[in-house]
Amino acid sequence: MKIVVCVKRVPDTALKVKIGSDRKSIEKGDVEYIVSPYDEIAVEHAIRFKEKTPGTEVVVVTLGPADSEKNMRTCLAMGADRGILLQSNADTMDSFNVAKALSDAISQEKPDLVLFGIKATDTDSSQVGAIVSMLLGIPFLSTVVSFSLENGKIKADSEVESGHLVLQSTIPCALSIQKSNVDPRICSLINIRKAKQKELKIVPVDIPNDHFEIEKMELPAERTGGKIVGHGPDAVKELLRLLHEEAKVI
Amino acid sequence: MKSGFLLSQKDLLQSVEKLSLKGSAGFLLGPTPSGTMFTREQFTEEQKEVGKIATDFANSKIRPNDEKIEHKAKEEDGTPTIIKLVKEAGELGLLGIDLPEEYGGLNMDFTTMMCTLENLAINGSYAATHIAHLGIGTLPILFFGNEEQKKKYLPKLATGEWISCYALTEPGSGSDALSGKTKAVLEGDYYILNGTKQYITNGSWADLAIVFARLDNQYTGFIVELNQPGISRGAEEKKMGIKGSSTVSLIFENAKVPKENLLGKVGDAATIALNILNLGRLELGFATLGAAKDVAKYTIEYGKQRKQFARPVIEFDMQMAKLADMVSRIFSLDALIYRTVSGIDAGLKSKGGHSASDVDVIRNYAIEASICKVEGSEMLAQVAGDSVKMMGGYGYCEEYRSEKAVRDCFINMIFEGTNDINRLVIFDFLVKGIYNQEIPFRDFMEMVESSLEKKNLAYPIEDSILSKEKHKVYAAKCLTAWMIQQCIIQHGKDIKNQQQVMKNISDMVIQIYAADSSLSRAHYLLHDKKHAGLVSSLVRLIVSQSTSAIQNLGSQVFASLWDTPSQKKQEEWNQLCSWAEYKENIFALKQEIAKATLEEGLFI
Repeated sequence: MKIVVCVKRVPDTALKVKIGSDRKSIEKGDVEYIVSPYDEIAVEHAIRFKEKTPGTEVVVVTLGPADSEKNMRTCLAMGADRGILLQSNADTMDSFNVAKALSDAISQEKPDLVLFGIKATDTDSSQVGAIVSMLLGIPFLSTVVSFSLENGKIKADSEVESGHLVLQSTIPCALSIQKSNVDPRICSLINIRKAKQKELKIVPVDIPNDHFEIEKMELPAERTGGKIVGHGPDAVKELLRLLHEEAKVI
Repeated sequence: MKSGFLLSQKDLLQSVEKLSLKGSAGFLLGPTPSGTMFTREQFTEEQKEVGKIATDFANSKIRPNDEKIEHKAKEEDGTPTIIKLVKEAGELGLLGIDLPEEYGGLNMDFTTMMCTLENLAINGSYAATHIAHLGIGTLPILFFGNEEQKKKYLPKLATGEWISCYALTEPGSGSDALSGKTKAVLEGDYYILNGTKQYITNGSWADLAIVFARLDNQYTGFIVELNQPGISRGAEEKKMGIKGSSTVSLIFENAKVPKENLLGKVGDAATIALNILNLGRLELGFATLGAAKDVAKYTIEYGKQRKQFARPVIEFDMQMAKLADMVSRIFSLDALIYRTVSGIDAGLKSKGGHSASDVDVIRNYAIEASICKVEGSEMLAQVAGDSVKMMGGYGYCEEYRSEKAVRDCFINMIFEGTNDINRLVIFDFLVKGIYNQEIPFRDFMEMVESSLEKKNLAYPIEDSILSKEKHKVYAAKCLTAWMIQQCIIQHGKDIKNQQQVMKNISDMVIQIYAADSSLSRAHYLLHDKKHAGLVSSLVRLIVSQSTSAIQNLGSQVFASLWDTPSQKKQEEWNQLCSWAEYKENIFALKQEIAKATLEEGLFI
C-alpha cells in the first residue's frame, strides 16, 4: 500500500495577519510557516494506517519555496517515509495550476491512496484535492473523518451537515480529511533527528499563474458591540423590526 | 593609580569582555560590548523546533489536565496523572535533552533544555515535578557520578522510566543546608542510612533520590534507590500552592545503600549540593518566565473581553500600566536568563563536558543563577498578583487561572534557597570575587575614582544605538561598585552581620543585570530594525526604573554608613547619582508599551 499525502505550508494560525502595503498579500516579515493543520491531520491518519498495516509507505508531497523543507521534515518526523518538494516561489492561489503540478508528481508515484486536508487554512479554497483527483482520474471522497481498508476497498466515514455517510471506493482513490478526534502527534526529539536523514527529493517546477490574480486583500471589519433591545417577550417585536429593517437579514 | 588612563580603560574593557562570558558578576565592571550576549532572537532552528515540541506538549497534554493535576488524580492503572505526563515527556525526549547520547540523551546544550522548561511551565505543579526530576534529581549523577553510575541510572532517568528527587533539607536544616543530621555508617558492602529528609519534591513517587548524609562527620552524597526496606515516605504536606506536586518526608531507618552508590567523594556534599543548586535556580528562573508569559496572555485575553463603562477593562490607563510592568519585567528576565545559561554553555563547551572537573563553570555563575531565581520568582509574583487585581472578583475565584497562579508562585521565592538566602549568596560571592581578585574590581574602581576626580565619566564604547541609556547603566554600575567599596571599607569583616546592607547591594546588582541585559537584547532588536517603537519604549522604561531603584537602594545604604558623611563622600555620591540620573515620562512609555502589546502580543 502506498499513500501520498499532499501538504501545504501556511502562515502560523496563531499569527495576527497584517495586510502588506500592496494590499494584495500579507506582510511576510516575521511570519512563521507551519504545515496546514488539516494537512497535518491527514498525515496523522496516514501514519496511523501505516502503523496498523505493515508494508505501507507514506510519501508526503508539497509545492512551495525552498524553505518548505522545514515543514516537510516535520511530516517526516511524524513518521512519513520520504518526501517530494516541488520547489516553486510562485505565490499563487490558482488552484488548477497547483493541482496540475501535484498530479504530475503524484501520477509517477502510482499511489493507492492520496490524502488531502479538507482545506488549507490560508486560502480556505478546498479545491486542490478535487482537481488533483479529477486530473488523476480517481474517485474523490470528501470530508472524511476515518477510513479503513476492507476487502481491497477503502471504506470511509464522511461527515456531512446532517450526519455521517459511510462510503466505499475502489482503489486508487483520494480522500479529503476533515478534523475529528484524531490529533496530530507531537514528534519526539529522536524522530526529529531521524527525519533529517530521510529522503527528501527536491524537484523544481514552474507554475504559470495565468488564470486569475488577487486584486485586493482586506481584513474583516472589526466587530462592533452588540445591542440589547429589551428583555423578555416584549422585546421580540422590536428585535424582529431591527433584523428586518436595519440588519436586513430577514 | 595606574598610568595611562585610556590604556587601562582599554585593558579593562578587554578583561570585561572576557568576563562577560565567565560569570562572577563580570557584567558589573564595564559596559557590555554589543554582540557578546545571546538572546532568544538568536535561537537556532533546532532550538526553535525543540521549544515548539515543549509548547505543543504543554498545550495539548498539560493544560487539558490542569484539574486532574491539581487534585492529584490517578489514571486507571493507578499512576498519578502528573507522572503519566512526565513519562510521556520522557518518551518525547524532553527529559534527556542535555544528557549525553551514550546515556540515552540527545546531547544538546542547557540553553535548549531550559528553553523547554520555559515552555512547559504553564502549570506550576507540573513544572516543579519535571524540574525536580531532570534538574536536581538527575544532574548530580551527570556531573559527579562515575561511569558505572551514569550507565546504570541516566538512561532510566532520561526516558522517565524512573523518577528522581533530591533530598537535602531536614526538619532542623533548611537554609542552613549543610547542617543535616542524617547519618551514614559503612558496614561491609553497604552504607547504613538513618535520618529524615523533609519537603522532598517528587518524594512520594520517586524511584531514586540524591541523598546527603553525614559519613564520619563529613557531609556526603549518595544515590539511593527508594523502593527497598528501611525507607518510608511521610504524608503529603498540605501546601498553599503547587498542590498537584508531591512534597513528603523521606525517612531512612537502617536503609542499606550499596557501597558503589557513594556520589563523588566522601565529604563532597557541599560541592555537589551547592553547584547543582545553581543549575536548579536557573531552571526555576526559566519556569517563572514561562509561567509569567502564560499569566500575562491570559490576563490580556480576559481584559479584552471584560467590559466596564462600555469599554474593555484592559484599555483603562491603570490596567495598561500594570500590563506594561508585566511586559517589561518579562522582557528583562528573558534577556538576563538566556544570557546566563548561554554563558554556562559556552564555559562547559570550552571545558569539554559535564564532569566534576567542569563544575567550576557552574560555580562561576552562582551570582547570575541567584539573580535569575530571585528576579524570576519576584517578577512572577508581581505578574500573578497584578493579574488577580486586573480581573477583580473573577480573579479571586478558583474558576479563573490567576487565583492558582498566585498560590503556585509563592513557593518559587522559598525553594532552591529562599530569596533572602540567594541575596546573601549574591553579596557573598561578589565580595569573595573581589577579595580573591577573580574580577578586576580594583582596576574598575581606579577608573571610577579617576572619573570622580575629573568630574567626567567617559563611556568607553562608541555606539549609536541606545547610547544614552547605555551610558546611564554604565554610570549605575560605577555607582554600585563605589557603594560596594564603601561598605567593605566601613564594615570590614562585620559586613556579614549587616544583612540589610547586603540585601540592598544585592538588589542593586540585580537591577544592573536586568537593565544591562535588556539593553543588549534591545540593541540586537533595534539593530535588526525589529519592533523599534515597542523595544525603544521598553528599554527606556526598564533603564528609567532600574537607575531610579539603584539610586534609592544606594541612598539607604549611604545613610547607614555614616552619621555625618564627609563632604568628599557626599560630593562623590551626588556626582555618581547625577551621572546615573535618567528621567523619562514613564506614564507615556507604559501607555505605548501596553498599546503595542495589545496590538502585537510580542515578547510574552
